[in-house]
Amino acid sequence: MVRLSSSTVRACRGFAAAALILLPCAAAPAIAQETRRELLEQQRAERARELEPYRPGRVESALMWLEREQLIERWVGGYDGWYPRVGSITRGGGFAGGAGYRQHLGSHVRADASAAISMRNYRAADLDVALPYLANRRLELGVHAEYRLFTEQDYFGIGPDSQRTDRVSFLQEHTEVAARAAYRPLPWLETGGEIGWLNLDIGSGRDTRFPSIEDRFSEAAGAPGLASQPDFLRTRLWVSVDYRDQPGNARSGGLYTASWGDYSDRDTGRYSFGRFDAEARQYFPIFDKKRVIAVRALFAYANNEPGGAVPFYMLPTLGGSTSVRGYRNFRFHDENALLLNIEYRWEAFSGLDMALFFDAGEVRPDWHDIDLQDLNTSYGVGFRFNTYQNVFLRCDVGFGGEGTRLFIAFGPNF
Amino acid sequence: MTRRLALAALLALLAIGQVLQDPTGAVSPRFFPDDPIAIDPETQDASNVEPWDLSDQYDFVENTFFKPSDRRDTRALNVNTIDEVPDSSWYTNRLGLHPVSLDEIVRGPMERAAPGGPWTVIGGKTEGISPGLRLRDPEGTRYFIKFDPPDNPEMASGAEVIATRFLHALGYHVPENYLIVLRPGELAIDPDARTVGPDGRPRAITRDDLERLFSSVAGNEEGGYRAVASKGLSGEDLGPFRYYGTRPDDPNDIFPHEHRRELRGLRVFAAWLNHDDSRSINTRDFLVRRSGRAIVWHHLLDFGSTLGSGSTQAQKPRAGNEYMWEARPTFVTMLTLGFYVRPWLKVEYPDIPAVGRIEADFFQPERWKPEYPNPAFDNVRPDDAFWAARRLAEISDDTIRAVVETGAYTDPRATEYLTGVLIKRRDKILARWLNLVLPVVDVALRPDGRLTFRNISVEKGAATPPAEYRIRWARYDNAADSATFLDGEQVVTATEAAAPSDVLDGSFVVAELRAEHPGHPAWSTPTRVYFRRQAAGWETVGIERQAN
Repeated sequence: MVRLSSSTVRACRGFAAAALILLPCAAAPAIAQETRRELLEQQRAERARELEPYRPGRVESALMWLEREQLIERWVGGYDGWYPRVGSITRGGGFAGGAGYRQHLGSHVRADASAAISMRNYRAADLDVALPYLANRRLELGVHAEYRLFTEQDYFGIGPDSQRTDRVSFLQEHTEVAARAAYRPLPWLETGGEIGWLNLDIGSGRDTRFPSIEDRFSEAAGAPGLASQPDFLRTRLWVSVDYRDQPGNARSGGLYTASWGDYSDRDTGRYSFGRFDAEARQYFPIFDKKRVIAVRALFAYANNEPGGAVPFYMLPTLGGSTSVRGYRNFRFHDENALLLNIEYRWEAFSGLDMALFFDAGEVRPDWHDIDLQDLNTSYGVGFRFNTYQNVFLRCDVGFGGEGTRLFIAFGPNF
Repeated sequence: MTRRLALAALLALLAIGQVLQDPTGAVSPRFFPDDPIAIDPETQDASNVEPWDLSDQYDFVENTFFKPSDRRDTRALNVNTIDEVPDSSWYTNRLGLHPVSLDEIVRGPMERAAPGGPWTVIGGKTEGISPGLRLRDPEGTRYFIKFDPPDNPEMASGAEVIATRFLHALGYHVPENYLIVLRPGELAIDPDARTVGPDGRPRAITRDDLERLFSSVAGNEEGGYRAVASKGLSGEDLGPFRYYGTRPDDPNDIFPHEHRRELRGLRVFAAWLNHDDSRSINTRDFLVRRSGRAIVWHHLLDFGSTLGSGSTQAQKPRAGNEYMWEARPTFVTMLTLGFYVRPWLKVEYPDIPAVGRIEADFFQPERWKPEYPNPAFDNVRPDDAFWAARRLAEISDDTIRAVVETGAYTDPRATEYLTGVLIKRRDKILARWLNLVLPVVDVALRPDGRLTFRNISVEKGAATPPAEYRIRWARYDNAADSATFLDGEQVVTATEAAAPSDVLDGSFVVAELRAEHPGHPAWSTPTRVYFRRQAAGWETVGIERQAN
């Protein structure tokens, strides 16, 4: 026997009554009426005896709760108060979840504290206090403190000829306190500086599938900085030109940045080094931005003083979900790295973009050796679940290089 | 499927049950003495209706993936016996049923000239996506204020006031929407004015808030900011209505909304005006007092996403062409690596910022779509579409131009372009939807027995005349709902004919009209018209344009 819900029965009654009243039909109403008006009045009188308040179902109630509590807005940074921190802590760290609390203090100060833990037991905690609205929102001052624990970072040695069979894992724990100032004289131009104190510890990796770093590498053989980790005074200056239409899901415009950082070893002086990073992105839209060709070139250069060394865990890297996707995350390390990406993106529907991509890159001990001859390359296809302004989940499958790699990440690649 | 079967079974049982309750087997007359009714008698007191708030996301998910409403191909349930919509809390007949002057159309729902300052800020705008405020004028009247996006000055405000006037003329209940110009320095802030702060909670509005708001919207060279002032609707706000089902606590709401003619027919007007945001969130019910009792009054509102406007930006090319989610084009695009390009992406639009994106050449009325499926729109039948198109046919070129001019565009190209686009879109709609039934209107039987009618499609240039009309005549027994047709068909070439004397001696006469037209095969489906003898002659009492 078919069971009907009370709402379905009510709907049926309404339909049947209306059909009997207003439409020509063979059946007669139970009580003969003299006029159409009387018939309609009678039906409404009967309905008046069966009224009940609206009760939303479970799914609708849940969605209304989400809307009422503004969880989406809190997640993407719109509102003060508690918010979910969802995403990854670093590449390869696995899915992470946590919570944060954001609060404006008066009309000029914004404070934000959050913490998260990942499926691979990576941990992160951040505290940021900023004055973002100075000089008519052109000047931002801020201080930031962060803690990170990466329990099983991958490492394969230094240089373009490092072997994937040398894979080891290591633990990295660092704490940093930094102050920054950023000035935007024009909406698309920003320059700034940052100074921070960085404390780092390297330990045995906890990935039981692979040896720990000390089993295969040493301070002298392939892992400078493994024996001891000094504190660093870090300074950085940067300038950027950003005229992308929307940073979270760029479809037109470009981003050009350059930065110089100085890492001063405050304990031994042996690991002091400088680092230059430059990145260029350009987005070429077609068909009202429903198709986009996106290109990126990225160059990183680290240079130590004669007799010193750049710690292996601070070297430029290549490989992984935002790099050459036919390789594992952090597959290559060296003092110089060049990365080239090109993506053809197309909108399948307003909530999903797809992409075909080609990646190429190389690491070298000296930047003069970068010759674009022996590039590590890969290609693949990607799925980007997005709103018009933000990519919130990305699945890329990379081929070539050292096999097929699947990367699931939060946020855009570039 | 189970639900549909259950509904069908229940209806069958109801019908059988009704017959069984009448031991004589007699049936009610098809036409009551007061048919056709002009007003739907909403006589129950609705004081106990409770405000509700519906989930926007749920509305999208439910209508996109679950199709919650009754989808049977059935005649609209709230039409009277001559296939018209009686006046009700949903709809008030204006164009098409009564003469409406151009001045009345241009005036629209507005009961006064544009309100003026000095204005007092009484709150922020919490509904919708466009930036705005709530203001109070010197008379104490409250208005919702919406501005134009910086890249498209005059676009959203122009679209809002134009669509307001057209939808009002077409019979819908809409707010009074005025064009005004605000100067930030002249705004006072009420001490109790609240907006939503960065924590999502209410807080006092400050001058900084106003500066930030005005920095994000379009201003003019004189330092003013053009805006739409939407007068607050009277009554208790009950929240939006759905385009399906009924409100379970409203005793007058007996017709499922997906079977209301005016909501089905809204699809035609929405296509014309590119009102892609025609969904539940942009409706509002208010509890008002009429004739000494409380009833729920139903409104359409927020027309910022009409014509070429997408409220905060120019309308997206997808608008009107594809739902937010559609499986087929999505998978085709996925599998062809994006080399399949949806045809609407190739449409080019003129660069007129005040217009945004709307055009008429690519536009195909029957393919037009709102943001996501609308249950009432999905149920549109040819007779519903004809009902709407007939009203649209009453909007002349001059009327379109006069209403577009109320958009007060600085750029004369905007007025010219929009006028041309709306004329062309109207003509396409008439050519399509006037011809899906035999488009005869004003069918009358004179006292001398002459039948007269008009072919509105031919009159409006949406079709050429047919070579001939064919008419069958019948006597009609109202009590038994039985028609006895005479043998043969009468063939006429003009829009009039003489009724055979054999049928004129009864109380009711039926004329069944059809025509053959090579371009319009639907004209061969008969339209049946019923006439009732009155003291002064014959009254048209029934019209069936499409069998159930």
